[in-house]
Amino acid sequence: IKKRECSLHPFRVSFQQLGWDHWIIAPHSYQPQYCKGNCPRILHFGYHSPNHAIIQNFINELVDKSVPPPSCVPYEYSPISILMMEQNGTILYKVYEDMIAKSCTCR
Amino acid sequence: SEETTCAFRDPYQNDHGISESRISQENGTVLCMKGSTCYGLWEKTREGEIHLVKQGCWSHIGDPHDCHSEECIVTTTPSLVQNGTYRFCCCSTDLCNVNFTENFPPDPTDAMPFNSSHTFHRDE
Amino acid sequence: GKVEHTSVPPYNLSHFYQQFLFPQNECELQNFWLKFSQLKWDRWIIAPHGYNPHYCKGKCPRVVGHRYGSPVHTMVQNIIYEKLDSSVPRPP
Repeated sequence: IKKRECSLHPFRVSFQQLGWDHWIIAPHSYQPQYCKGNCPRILHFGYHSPNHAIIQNFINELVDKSVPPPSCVPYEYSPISILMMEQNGTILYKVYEDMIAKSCTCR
Repeated sequence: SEETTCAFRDPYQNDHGISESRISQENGTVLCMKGSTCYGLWEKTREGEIHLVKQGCWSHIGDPHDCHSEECIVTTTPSLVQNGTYRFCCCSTDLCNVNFTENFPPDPTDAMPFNSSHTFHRDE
Repeated sequence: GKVEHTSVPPYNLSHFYQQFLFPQNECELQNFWLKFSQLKWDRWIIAPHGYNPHYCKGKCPRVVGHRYGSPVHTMVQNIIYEKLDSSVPRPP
C-alpha cells in the first residue's frame, strides 16, 4: 500500500486526555488507532470496499464531482476491558465494544 | 497462548461475562479464556491501609504493551476516581494478580507526602 | 402615524425555524439517480437502465450520538482531532 494511501495509523491516548478518568478506573490509556489516507481510484480487493463504494467512486469521477469520493474509515474494530465506577459507587468490569480500529476500508 | 488461572474476587458484579464453571469459589480462582490476562484492583487509603476490591480475567487489552509482565505491577498514575486511591495492575502468569507492587511516577500535585503537617484523625 | 418596524420579521417562518431543527450541511443521506449509460455500463447491463444508489454527504457533528449509531471509536477520534492532535482526521 503506497505511503499516502488509506491505512491504519498508531495513536495512544489516555482517558485523562479524553476527560473520562473521573469514571474510568483502568486502564490508564489505550491505543484506538485511526485510519487516514487517500482512497485510490481502483478500490482493489484488499480494501473490503462494498460495491456501493466502487459505484460512488465512479460517480465522483465520471458523473458528478459534488458526490464525495469514498472515505478512509475503520473496517473492523476490537473491544477493550475497562474498570469503571457507576454513579452509585459500584465498580464494574466491562468490555467496551468498538474501541480500537483494527483495519481500514474505503467506503 | 494457554488459558491462565487468575485469582478471582467479584463481590457485587455477576455479569462479568465468565461462565460459572470456570470459577472456583472455594479457591477464589478463575480459569480465563485463551489470550486473557489477570488483573487486580485494590484501594489504598491515605493511611496506607490496603483493601482488595476486585480480581479476575482481563480479556481485552487496550494497549499491546500492557499486561505482559509476570508480576502485577502498578505502573501508571491512579485515575481521578475516588481521589486516586485505587491501584490497578494486570499481568500474564498464573495467579500473578494475588498481590501487587507499585512502580509509577509520583503525581506532580502530590508534592507534600501524606503525613504532612495535616494529619488525618479518626474523628475527622 | 407611520408604524416603525424595529426588526424585519423573517420572510419565511418555516425557513427561519428550519435552521434550528436540523443544522445545515450535517451528515445526511442523499438521493442520486444514476443511469448506467453514464458509466458506459449499458453495454453489458441489460436492465435496469439505472438505479438510485443514494450516498452520504455532510459534516459529522461534534457529538456523534445515537442518531448516527456511530461506534465509540468515532467519538474518541472526534475528541482526539479537536483537543489533542488535528493531524488525526476528523471522522469523515
